[in-house]
Amino acid sequence: MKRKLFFRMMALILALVFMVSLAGCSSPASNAQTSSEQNAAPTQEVKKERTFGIVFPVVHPFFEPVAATAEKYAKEVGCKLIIKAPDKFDVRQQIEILENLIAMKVDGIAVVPTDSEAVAPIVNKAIEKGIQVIAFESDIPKSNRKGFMGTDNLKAGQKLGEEIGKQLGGKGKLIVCTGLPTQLSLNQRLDGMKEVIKRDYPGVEILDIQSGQGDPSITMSVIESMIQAHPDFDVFSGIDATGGPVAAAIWKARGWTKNDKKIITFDNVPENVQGVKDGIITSLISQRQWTWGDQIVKDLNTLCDGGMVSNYVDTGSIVITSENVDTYMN
Amino acid sequence: MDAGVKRRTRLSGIIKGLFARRESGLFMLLLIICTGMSIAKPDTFFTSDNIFNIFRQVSIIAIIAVGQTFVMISGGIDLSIGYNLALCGIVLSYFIKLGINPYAAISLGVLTGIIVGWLNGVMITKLKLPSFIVTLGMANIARGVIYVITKGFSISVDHPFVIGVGNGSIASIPILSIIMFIIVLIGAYVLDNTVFGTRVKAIGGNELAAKLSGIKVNRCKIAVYTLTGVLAAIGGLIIVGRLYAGNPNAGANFEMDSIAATIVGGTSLAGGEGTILGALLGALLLGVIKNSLVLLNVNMYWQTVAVGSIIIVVCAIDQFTKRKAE
Repeated sequence: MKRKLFFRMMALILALVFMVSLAGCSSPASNAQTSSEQNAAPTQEVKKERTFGIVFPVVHPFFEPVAATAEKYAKEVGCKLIIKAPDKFDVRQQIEILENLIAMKVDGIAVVPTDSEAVAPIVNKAIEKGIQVIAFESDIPKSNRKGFMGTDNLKAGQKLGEEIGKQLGGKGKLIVCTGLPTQLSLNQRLDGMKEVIKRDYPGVEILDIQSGQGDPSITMSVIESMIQAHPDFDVFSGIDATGGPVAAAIWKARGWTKNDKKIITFDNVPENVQGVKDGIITSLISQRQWTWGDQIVKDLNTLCDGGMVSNYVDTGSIVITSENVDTYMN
Repeated sequence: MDAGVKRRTRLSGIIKGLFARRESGLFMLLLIICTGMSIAKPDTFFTSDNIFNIFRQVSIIAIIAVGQTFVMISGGIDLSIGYNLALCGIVLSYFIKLGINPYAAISLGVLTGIIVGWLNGVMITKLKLPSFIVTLGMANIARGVIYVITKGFSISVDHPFVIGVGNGSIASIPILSIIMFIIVLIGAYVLDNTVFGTRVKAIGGNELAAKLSGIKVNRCKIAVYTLTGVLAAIGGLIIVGRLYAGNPNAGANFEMDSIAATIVGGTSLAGGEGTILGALLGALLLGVIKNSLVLLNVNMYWQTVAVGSIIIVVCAIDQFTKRKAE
């Protein structure tokens, strides 16, 4: 009797878990599906409705504007989108996603590689099967991908260095926290920043550069210890998307604002934008990823029509401060 | 009179426990590093600011290491503790944001921890699956649910109680460290001075013998995993306060950090032996080392190497002294 009850309970739990995972998996794709079906008929009556896959490197708020703009644009031009992302930085998971998209015979794929070396062969396999593939955010140089759009991270890093030098009036002390040391884009930003500070702002001294591994708890410990080690710093700078929000939390806990110590950091994640609005964060350097969504769908359509797209497009970066925080996307 | 004697023996037992071999060795090592750092960085290391800094940084790890110690002494391992912690934080942030009574939201967060821990225990005992597999699966489920709820976004929280737990202090002692000390004391008492603690050790030492001697092994194990779930939930509450937000990535490395602290603290991976004080010292040692490496301006690439080496070296020394004693 007891046993029966137990099995019933297990069955219920399993059924629940199954339902939750189903709901979780299908939501982004199915949204796009229903929306495009409504619009497909009037706009593109002759052509068969196209299906494109967009693959992010990991579930991350940074990519939400890309997904949102791409879905909106896809709805307008009448094509189906399948948006997928591994739940952690895991190249194996991403390759599985790409294999599934190839098996589904989608018309085009736009991908941000978690590891451009490892993803290159599968990209080539997709192209051999007649699928159009473009890369965005991070390039896949060893593949035959048809195009790339993204941020020149060296230039974005130079912009960060420029902003730090300007905000300090050419003189001051800096502590820096970066993310995973294996991420090429972060290392390029660091190089760009160091280059500009060394060349144009010799009065700015970099006291320390540490890594928070992209993990908020580690990042918090590292920043707190750096503040301890260098109490006379003037600016904290975060190179990844984790540094800014964590620094803002530390500033809040200490009752600091941008008038006490400055935060000049990367990415327009919501906490950072809020930090600018609250007067805690001085400036943000942001990629313009909200412009990518439309362009991805446009490019894939052009390629499917037999056209060509630019081999390399730098979509640039911008500085967000309290002056333009409400209008920077326009 | 009787009670006085009893109390005295218990007190001497605790003091004896304080200086048991493994703990005193760890304590010495900690002392040596702290002395060295005080000489190397007199202005920055041994300041009240920095000491509280370190305590703040190790508090969450020490709290969940208490749970991990119980689990490992019972012969298991809990790999879900980090994501369980993050999930509890997300659940409570989510419900605070929804606008329900914040204390009800916090209770729901704690309830989440209890359910996850209880499910771990039930699946391990009733389905007779290894804890490694069940908790690995549970870690993935928890991470998945976190993404379902958040889509990867943080949920900001500004409720004064939550923020106070994470950042407040009483007489300049951080509240989260006070919570940690209370939990460590309770954990140490339960493990060494209650029937439950003795049973957990007996199960880890020899499960069959424990069963034959009449211990309700399943019930005991479920209690251990549920307790760990509660501690994960407390950790979740604290991390939300610290970050002013429920962060979906907040738990990523906690399970490994808690296991490292527990093992460095002398708990055997095979189960049966270990102490809570050891886990606290293990967490402190790793925390002090990480803090020192930043204060000393050590290159970030080398820090991970250093922490890994310390774990191996400390355990190797322990093995060596053990063999010598035998």
